[in-house]
Amino acid sequence: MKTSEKVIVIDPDKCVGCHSCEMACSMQHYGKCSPLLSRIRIQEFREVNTFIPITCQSCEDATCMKVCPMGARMRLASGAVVTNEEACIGCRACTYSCFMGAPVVNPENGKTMTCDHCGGIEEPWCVRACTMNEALKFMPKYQTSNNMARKFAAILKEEYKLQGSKDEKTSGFSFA
Amino acid sequence: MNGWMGRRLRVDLTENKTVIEKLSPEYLKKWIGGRGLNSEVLYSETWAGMDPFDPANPLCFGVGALVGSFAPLSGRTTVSARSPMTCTSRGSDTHAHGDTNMGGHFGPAVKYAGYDQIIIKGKADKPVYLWIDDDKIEIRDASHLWGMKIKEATTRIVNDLGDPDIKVALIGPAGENLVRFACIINTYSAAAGRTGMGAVMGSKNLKAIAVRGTKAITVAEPEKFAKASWELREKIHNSPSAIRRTTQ
Repeated sequence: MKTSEKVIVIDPDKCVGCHSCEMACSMQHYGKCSPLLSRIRIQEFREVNTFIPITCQSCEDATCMKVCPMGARMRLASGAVVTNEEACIGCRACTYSCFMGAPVVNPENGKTMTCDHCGGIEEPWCVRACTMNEALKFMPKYQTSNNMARKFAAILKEEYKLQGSKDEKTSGFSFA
Repeated sequence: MNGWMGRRLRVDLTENKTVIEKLSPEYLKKWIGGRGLNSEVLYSETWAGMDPFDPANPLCFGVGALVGSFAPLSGRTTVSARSPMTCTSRGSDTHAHGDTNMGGHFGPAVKYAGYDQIIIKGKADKPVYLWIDDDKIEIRDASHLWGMKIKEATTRIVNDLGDPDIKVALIGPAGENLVRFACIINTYSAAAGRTGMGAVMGSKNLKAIAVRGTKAITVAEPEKFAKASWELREKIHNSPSAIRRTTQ
């Protein structure tokens, strides 16, 4: 994996299920708005107010690439894993084998499609369209671990601030 | 046509008939959005002194050109009919134009199914719900749903039809009992709450409208449209009068 390889990181805590990313993705690729033509999909669990974006994570050891009978799943120079539409026969083995169900069946041609980072532009349209201040982020893969750790650490920081002294600079924190 | 879908759906619950009507670009450009389309229908097809619970009262669900796109502030569906709640003035019993709107996912689903407006007239002889699946329209029995509240009925309809992505607009016990200020709810909690449109829906024995669509909305210039939408959104989000919420 090259350190330049980026991926779209999802934060379900921030997603409110507006589907702007879906509409933007379909617009960027096909010039029209339709969630069915989007490579990113929001899974809604409305009864518990939870929304989870699902999009291809271009796995280092991609199951879809191994499972495709036609070798149609291929890795681009950017690191993104996409379907070569000329080779794809629409069997959907990639859809079934992907642990997160990322490959989307394009209803117009029956072939599968996954995130291609909008062809290498600086900010993919879904990330730009997201209305919730970074429920989607586009970052180098190697930075994602620090991203998660920092998110967790920020929660701890708030709790320690409550437990510790009011002066942020001088407080150590004590474990009660 | 860009933006609009160029069609409306007319449903007659007395005759059990549905008609898909074409709408011309001129008509759409003149009336623009859901509220305009609904107003034109109410102006042409109702009469002075009409009783809101008359089966001929057209219950209109209108959506505009931007609904179903990611343009900011574009998600509302306007619901209009002669209102059982609103009269022309205090103490009058002349019922007036009723008009309300709701957010949620119903409006975009109507556009994806290929309609700019749904007009419902007549009265079913028993509780029914409307199932709109692109061009396929069904009027289905809703006796098992009558009396159910919103969450229960939505879940039941979505399970019966077998697809969690189906969007449903419906009434609860209030609308069924013709409570004058009853509302219509979609996506579990988005409410069309003004002027008692829920009671009009209840008076037609219509429990719910379920929609699913596979069509796409086109725009003339995708790049410019996207840029304009996002710039407008930034302006709104950075406005001093906006309260910014970044977590749920």
